[in-house]
Amino acid sequence: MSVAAADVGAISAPAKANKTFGKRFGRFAVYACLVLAALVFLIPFASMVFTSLKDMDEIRAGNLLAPPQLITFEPWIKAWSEACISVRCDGLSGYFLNTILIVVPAVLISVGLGALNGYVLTMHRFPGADWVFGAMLFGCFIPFQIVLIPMARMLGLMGLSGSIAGVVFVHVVYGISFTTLFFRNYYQSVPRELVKAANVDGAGFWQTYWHVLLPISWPIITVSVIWQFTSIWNDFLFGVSFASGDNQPVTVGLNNLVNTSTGAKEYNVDMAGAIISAFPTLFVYVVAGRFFLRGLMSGAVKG
Amino acid sequence: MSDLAIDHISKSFGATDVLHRIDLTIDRGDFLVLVGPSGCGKSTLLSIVAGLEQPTSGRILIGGNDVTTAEPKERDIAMVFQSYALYPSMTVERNIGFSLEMAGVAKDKRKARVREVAELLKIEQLLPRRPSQLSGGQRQRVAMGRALVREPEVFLFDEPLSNLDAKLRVDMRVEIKRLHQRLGTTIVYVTHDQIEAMTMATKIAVMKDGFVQQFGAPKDVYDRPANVFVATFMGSPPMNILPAEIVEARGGLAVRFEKDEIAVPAHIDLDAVHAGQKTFLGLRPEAVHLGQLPSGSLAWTFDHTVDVIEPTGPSTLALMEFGEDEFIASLPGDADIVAGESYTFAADLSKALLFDRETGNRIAHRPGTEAPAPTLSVVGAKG
Repeated sequence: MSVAAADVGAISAPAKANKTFGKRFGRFAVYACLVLAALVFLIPFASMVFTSLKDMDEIRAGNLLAPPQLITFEPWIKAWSEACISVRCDGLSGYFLNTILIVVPAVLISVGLGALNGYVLTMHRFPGADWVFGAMLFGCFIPFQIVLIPMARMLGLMGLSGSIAGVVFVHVVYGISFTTLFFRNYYQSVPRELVKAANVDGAGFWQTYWHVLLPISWPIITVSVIWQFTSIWNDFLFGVSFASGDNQPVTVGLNNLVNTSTGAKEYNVDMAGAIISAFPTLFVYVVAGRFFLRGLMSGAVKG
Repeated sequence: MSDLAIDHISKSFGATDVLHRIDLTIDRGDFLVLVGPSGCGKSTLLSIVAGLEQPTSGRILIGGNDVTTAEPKERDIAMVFQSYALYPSMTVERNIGFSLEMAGVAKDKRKARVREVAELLKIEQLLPRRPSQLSGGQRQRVAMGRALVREPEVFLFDEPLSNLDAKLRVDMRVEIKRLHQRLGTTIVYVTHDQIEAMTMATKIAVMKDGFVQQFGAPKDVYDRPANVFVATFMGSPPMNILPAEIVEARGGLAVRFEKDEIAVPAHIDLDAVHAGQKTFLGLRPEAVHLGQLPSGSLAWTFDHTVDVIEPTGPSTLALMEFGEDEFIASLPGDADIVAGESYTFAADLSKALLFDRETGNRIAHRPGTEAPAPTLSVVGAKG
C-alpha cells in the first residue's frame, strides 16, 4: 500500500510548480481511492483483532467494530494450546508445526528446482526447450481439484499417503510450474554473454550458476519464496485431501476448530486462531516485500 | 608458424547457412579484423573460434592444436564481449581474477597477477569497485583486464567499442592497438566499423552473407578491393561506382561512361577485358579534385553541378548526382564551393578500378603492377 502511494507521489512531484484545480482534484481522487481500498482490507482485520481480545460476555454485549473494553489474551492462549479440535484439546500448535514441516521443504525444493529449470531453459538451451517450458507452464493452469484423485493414487503407490512428505511432494510438483516461470523469465533478461564469459573463464555448469547467476537472483528468489510460501501455507485442499490425522496443516486445523460444535461458539478463540494461522504470511510480506524493489542487475552490461 | 587456422569452417542453423567454408590463417602477432555488415556471420565465426558454438564442418587450430571440439577454457583464448559481460555481483578485482580462481590459482598469486594487469590498464584504483559503479570506458578496461590476466595465445574481441561514445571509441582504439604492439599477441577482432578495421588490423577479412569477400592487408583491401562490395564497404565516404562499358577505340580498348570515353588505364590488364564488356568504374572520392590536374597525368575532367556540400573539417565532401548514382568528391577542407553551382572536376584515373558488372569482381591489374598480395583470396564473391 505504501509503495503505491509513494509511486503516485513521485510521478506528480515535477508538476508541483503549476498546480491547477484539475490536478489537485486528480491527486485527491487517487488518495481517496487508496484510502478506501485500504479500509476495505483493514476494517475486517481490525474487527478480528478486537474480537480476539474480548471475552465472550463483551462480544455478546457489544458491537463488532468496537475496541475491547477489557483486553484479555485468554482466547489466544486457548486457540494456541487448549482449544478442542475434534477429539483432542491441545489447540492449533501441533497443526502449526505441521504446516512449518510442510512449507519449509516444499518452498526450498520447489524454488531450487525452479531456479535450475530457469537457468537451463535460458542459458543452456536445448532443442525443444520452448516446448518443455510450454508444458511446464501448462501446470500453472491446471485447477487443483482435477489432480486430486490421480495424485491420491500416485501417493498411494509411492507409499506417501497421509504423510507430511506426501503433501510436500504435491506442493513441489505444483510449485515447479510457477517457480520455473518466474526464474525463466528473470534469466531471460540476463545477458547470455555473462554465461558465455564465465564459460570462457573456465567456470563449469554449477560454478557459473553459483558464482555468476545466483548472486544476482535475489529479487526473483524473494518473489518465488513469497509466492510459494503464501500459497503453500494457505493451502487447504491438498492438506485436507492428502494429510491425515496428526499430519494435517494449520488451515485444516483452523477449519476443524471453527467447526467443532460443543457448547457456545467462541468467536474470540476462532478469531485468534485465524490470526495465528495467517500471521506467518503477513510476516513474510512485511519483511521480504522490500526486496521486491531491489534491482541487483545494474552494472552487468552497459549502463 | 600459423597461430590460428580457421579451416573450411561452415555453420548452419537448421536450413540457414550462416558461414560458407571459411578459410583464414594468421600468424602469431597478427591482428585479424573480421569486418562486415550485421548478419554477415562475423560474430558467429568468432564464437566458433572461442568454442561457444560448434561448427557444422571444418576445423579450428590454435597454436597448431586442433581445438575444434575443445571447451573454451581448453583453447588458450580470452574474449572481450560487446556488452563487456562483467559479473555484476563481483568486485573489479574478482572479475579480473575470476578465470584464475576457476583455474585454481592460489589467492596471493592471483592478487599479484590482477594488480599487474590493473597497472597495465591503469585501473588499480577501481579494483574494489563493482561494475555498476563504473563508467562505460572503465567497464571496457575491466573487460580487457579480464582477458589480459590469462595471457592467452589468442585474444578475441567481439565489437568491444560499439557501446562507447565517439571520443572514447577513438581513444580505446589507439589503446588496444598500443597494447597489441606492446604484447604482440594474436588478436581476432570483430567489428562492423570499417575505420576500426583499417586502423587496427594487420589482416582484414571482409565478410558478407557468410562468405569471406576478401582477406588481406588493410592497404591491399583498400587499394585493390576484390569486388564492388568490398570497394564500397571499405572506405568512408565510399568509393564511387559508375556504370561503364568497354568499347573499341582507335588503337585499342577504351572505357565509356557518362558521356565520356577514356583509354583503359595503363594498370588494367588488357587481356582481362574485351570490347562490349559491361563494367563498373570505381573511383575513390579522394581521387577526385577540383579544377584541372597537371597535364600528362591520366585524368577524367568533367563539369558537374554540386548537389550537397558536407564540410567535415579536414575535408569537404561534394555530393553530385550522376543519373541514379551518387558521386562524391572529397575536396580539401578549405575548398571554396557552393551547393547548386557547377564546377570543373578532375578524377585521377591512375587509381581507378574496373569491375565486371555481371560478377562484381574487380578486373585484374596488369601483371607487375599488382603489388604482391600472397594471401589475397576471393571466395564466392557474389556482387
